[in-house]
Amino acid sequence: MYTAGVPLMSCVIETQSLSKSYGGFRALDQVDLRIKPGTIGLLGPNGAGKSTLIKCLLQLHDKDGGKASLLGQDIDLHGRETRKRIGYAPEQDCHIPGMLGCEYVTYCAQLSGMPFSVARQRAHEMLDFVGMEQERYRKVDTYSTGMKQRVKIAQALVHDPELVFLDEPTNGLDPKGQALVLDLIEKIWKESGISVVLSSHLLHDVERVCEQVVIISKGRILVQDTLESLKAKRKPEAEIVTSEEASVLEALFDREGWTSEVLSNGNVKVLHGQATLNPLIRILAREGISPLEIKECPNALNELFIQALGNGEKGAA
Amino acid sequence: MRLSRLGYQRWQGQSTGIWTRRFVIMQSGIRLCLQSRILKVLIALAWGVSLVMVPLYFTLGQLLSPESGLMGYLAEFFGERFTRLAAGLMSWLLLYPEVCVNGVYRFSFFATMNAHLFLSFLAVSLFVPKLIAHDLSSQAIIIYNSKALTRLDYMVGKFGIVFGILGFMWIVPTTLAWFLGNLLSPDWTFFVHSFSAFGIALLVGVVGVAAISFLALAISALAKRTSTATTMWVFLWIISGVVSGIVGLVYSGGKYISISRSISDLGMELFDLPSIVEDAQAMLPFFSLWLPQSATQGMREISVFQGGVSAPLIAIGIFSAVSLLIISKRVKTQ
Repeated sequence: MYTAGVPLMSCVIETQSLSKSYGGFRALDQVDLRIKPGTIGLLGPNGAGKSTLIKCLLQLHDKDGGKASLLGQDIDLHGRETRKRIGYAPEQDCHIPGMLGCEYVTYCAQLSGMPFSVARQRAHEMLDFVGMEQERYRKVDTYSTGMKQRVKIAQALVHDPELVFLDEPTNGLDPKGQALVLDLIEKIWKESGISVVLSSHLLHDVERVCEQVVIISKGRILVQDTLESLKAKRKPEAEIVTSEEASVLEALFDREGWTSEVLSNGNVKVLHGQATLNPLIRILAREGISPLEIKECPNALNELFIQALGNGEKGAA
Repeated sequence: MRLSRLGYQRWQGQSTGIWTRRFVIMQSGIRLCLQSRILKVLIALAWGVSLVMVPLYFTLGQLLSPESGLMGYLAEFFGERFTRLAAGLMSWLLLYPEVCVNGVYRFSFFATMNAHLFLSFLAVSLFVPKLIAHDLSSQAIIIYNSKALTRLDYMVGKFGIVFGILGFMWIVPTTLAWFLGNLLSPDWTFFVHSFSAFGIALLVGVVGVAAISFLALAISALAKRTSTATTMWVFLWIISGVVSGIVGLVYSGGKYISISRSISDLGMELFDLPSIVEDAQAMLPFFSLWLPQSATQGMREISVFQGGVSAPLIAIGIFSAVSLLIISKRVKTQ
């Protein structure tokens, strides 16, 4: 966790009833958010509204209604000045044709208000930081997907922002490339105190590096909480795979006052109401029942993500 | 120690102002455009056109100045008769400097203006895709819009690219030709006498370059692919020129559907060449012998549309306003 001498503000992102439509399609529907500094995972299926939310916050797209502030400043009043303190690595390729990697990052630094000599030095530092070597002297047009992702992250960080939006930064990368980029994202917050918003449709990516999670589906926020809290939350339910007669288990759970049902696959689902599985295991042991497997109910993060995916599929249908 | 081992370093410096950031866009764009060798050749040609005028102005100054070295040399070569002829010319200069100096400068500036206009259109066709079309097709527009820049800043920077290149091709060499031509003249009053002609040349240059810049940006913003930008530009330039010529035969105001014609006519109206010829005919007796009255009448018929300066100016204004509208609509993240 970041502990250096940079003051932390209460909220890096704040929105009230933020809305955006494309024709008849509501891409953002009354989005209310209050996000504290840190690593934030913006999770949702494709088309959920993640990129639209980022683009509205950065004023790349005009919002239809609502209010938004970044780093404590209203984007409508201080858009340009706010963006000076923000970095953004978009999902798609966005390089300037004909520019070398180091030229491109230097140019981006200058566009953000750095004098040329500082920008050039800083560009090389950032290219080092993202692990680019001699490739920086090649034209960006010739880069592989992994290099393009890294150079995008470098240009997003080069002007030393306080908040960075990374839109699907692991897209198109092989597992090694994904791991490298995720490590980098983790370092950004831990070493520098720059808040990172990681937009992704991959639960694994968000689980690995984020402290806070925002799950979005069909333009609505399903949940906003810390990863820890979401992982801790789960229904007090379990699914028992057993070779015993299901009726024996049902009778046992009835005696304990727990509700149970036999599933179509022959397993028994029980609502035990306990914080852990230990009481259930003890009861089964006491009765001499050896289950083949006890499946814990998925945690809230998984459940909500699956729900979001379901919504996305319904929307697509 | 390798920088990567140092980890992330914070930066605490003073940010540059918005005009510096706009200048960065302009500077980078110009550098990108100047990668074309053909453009460099066109720039050299444009400079050549203006610099050819320097010896002309020098010769004029030497001929009209009593103590000039050239006059002394020619007097030695041609004898006393030439000196007397030159003395007569000098007296006309003293009496009618606006005809002798201003007239020559106006004619020469008008000629170079048309050459610069042509070269500017040709030059734009080389780099028009690199202005906005490149950024739209490569999605680089997202990068500009996500930085500490507004759409206006981006447009100002891009405008600076075209204005910078064309200004360097048209306005700078014109200014330098005027300055060097007069600097080499033995008489400093030439600066004063030629100033109005230079002022008009400068005005037409600035208006022309600005109008072409707006139009180039609009065409670049309209093109969905970089390859179509050049085609659209050449099409607009040539086709509108041909159509304006045909329409202009039926209705004189119709010729202003061509931006190049509008700029050229603005120059023609401002330089007002027929009046210079008429003045010369009235004031310089030998001139009326060389050029009959019917010739100036012919010049007026070619050049003048009833609207005078306002007609081409309005046309240029409309072109620029429509261009601005197109640019502001197109320059956004898709």
